[in-house]
Amino acid sequence: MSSVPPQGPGATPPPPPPPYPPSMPPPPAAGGLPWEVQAIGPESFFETAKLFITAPDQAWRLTRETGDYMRPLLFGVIIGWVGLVFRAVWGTIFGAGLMRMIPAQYAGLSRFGGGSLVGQIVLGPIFIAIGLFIGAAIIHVSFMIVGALAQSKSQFEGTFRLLCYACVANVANVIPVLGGLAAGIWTLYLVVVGAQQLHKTTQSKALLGVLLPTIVCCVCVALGSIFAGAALYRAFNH
Amino acid sequence: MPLSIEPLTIDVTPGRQLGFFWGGAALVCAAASPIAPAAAGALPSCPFRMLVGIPCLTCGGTRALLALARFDVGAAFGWNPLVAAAGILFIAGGVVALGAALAGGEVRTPRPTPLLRAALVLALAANWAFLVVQGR
Repeated sequence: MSSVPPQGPGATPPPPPPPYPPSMPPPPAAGGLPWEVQAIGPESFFETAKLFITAPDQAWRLTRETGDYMRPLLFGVIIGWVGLVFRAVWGTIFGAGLMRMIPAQYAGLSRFGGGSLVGQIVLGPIFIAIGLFIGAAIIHVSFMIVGALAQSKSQFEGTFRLLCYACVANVANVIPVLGGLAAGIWTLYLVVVGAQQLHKTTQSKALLGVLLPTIVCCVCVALGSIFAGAALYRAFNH
Repeated sequence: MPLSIEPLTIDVTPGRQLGFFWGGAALVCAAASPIAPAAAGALPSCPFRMLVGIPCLTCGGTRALLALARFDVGAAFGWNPLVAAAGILFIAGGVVALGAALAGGEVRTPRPTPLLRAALVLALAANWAFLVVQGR
C-alpha cells in the first residue's frame, strides 16, 4: 500500500503546519548577539545595544540561553555604569532642589544615593555587578515560586542574562529627573519579553515573576515612591 | 588597528564562572559591612507599616543584616529570620562556591521542583507570620 497521498483535482491539499501557541515565544533565531559571537569591542557593543533598543524581540531571540556569564556581565556593567554616571550627574545638579520638596522623613534618601560623585562613578561597576547578581537571585526565586522555570534549560544563568542585557534600559538615565522612572519601566518590559524567550514561559508568568519581588519584598519602596511622588506633585502645584 | 579584544576566549565553564562571581560578590559585601550602618541610617521608616499598622515581609531586614555584620546571628534571626538566612546563605555559600571553583568544581543551581516551590512559599508566609506576631 502506497503512503503517497492521492493526487489530482479532487484531492484535498495537506493542512498547513499548526501555528505557534500564542502564549509561547517563537523559536530562537540563528546566529547570535553581536556581543556574544563577535570580538568584544565598541562595534559589537553598540550593535547589541542598538538591537535591544530598537528590536528587543529579535534581540532576545538571538540571545544564547547558556554558555557564559562574563560577556553578559561585562555588557550589563558597561551600560549600567553609563546610566549611573548620568544619574549621578543629574543628582548632583538637581538633587538638592528635589529633596527640599519631599517630606523630611525621606530626606535621608539623598545620602543613600551614594556619597560623592567621584565615589559613585569609581565604585559604580563593582556595585552594579553585585546588584546584578543579587537581583538575579531574587528574580530567580520569584520565577521559581510562580512556576516560570518549568520549561527552562538555562535556569539561573538565563535569569542573570536577562538582567544583564536589560541593563540597556539604563540609557534612559540620560533624561534628567524622570530618566530613572523610565529606565525602571523599560527594564520591566525587557525582562518580561526576555523571560518568555530564555525561560520558555508565558507572558503572565514572566510578568508575575518580575513583579512579585516588588509586590512582596519592595512594597515599602513602592509605597515610599508613591508618597514621595505625591509630595512632589503637591510641591509643584503650590 | 581595530579597538577590540580578539580573541577573548573564556575557558572557564559557566558553573565555575558562577563560583568565582558568587565568591567575589560575597567577599566584597563582607568587606563593605563596616560601612553598612552609615548607609542604613539613611533609609526611611517602613511606609507599609505606617499605613497598614503591621510589618511588611522585609521589615527588620536592614537591622538583621546589620546584626549579621556584627556577627550577632541570634539578633539577626530575631529581626527577620528570612533575611538573616538569605544573608548567611549569600556569604557562606559564596565562600564555599569560590573554594569549589578554585578547586576546579562547578556550582549548580537547584532545579525548581514542586517541593522547593512549596518550601519557598511556606518560608515567606512563616516569616511574615513571625514578624506580625513579634510586632517587628
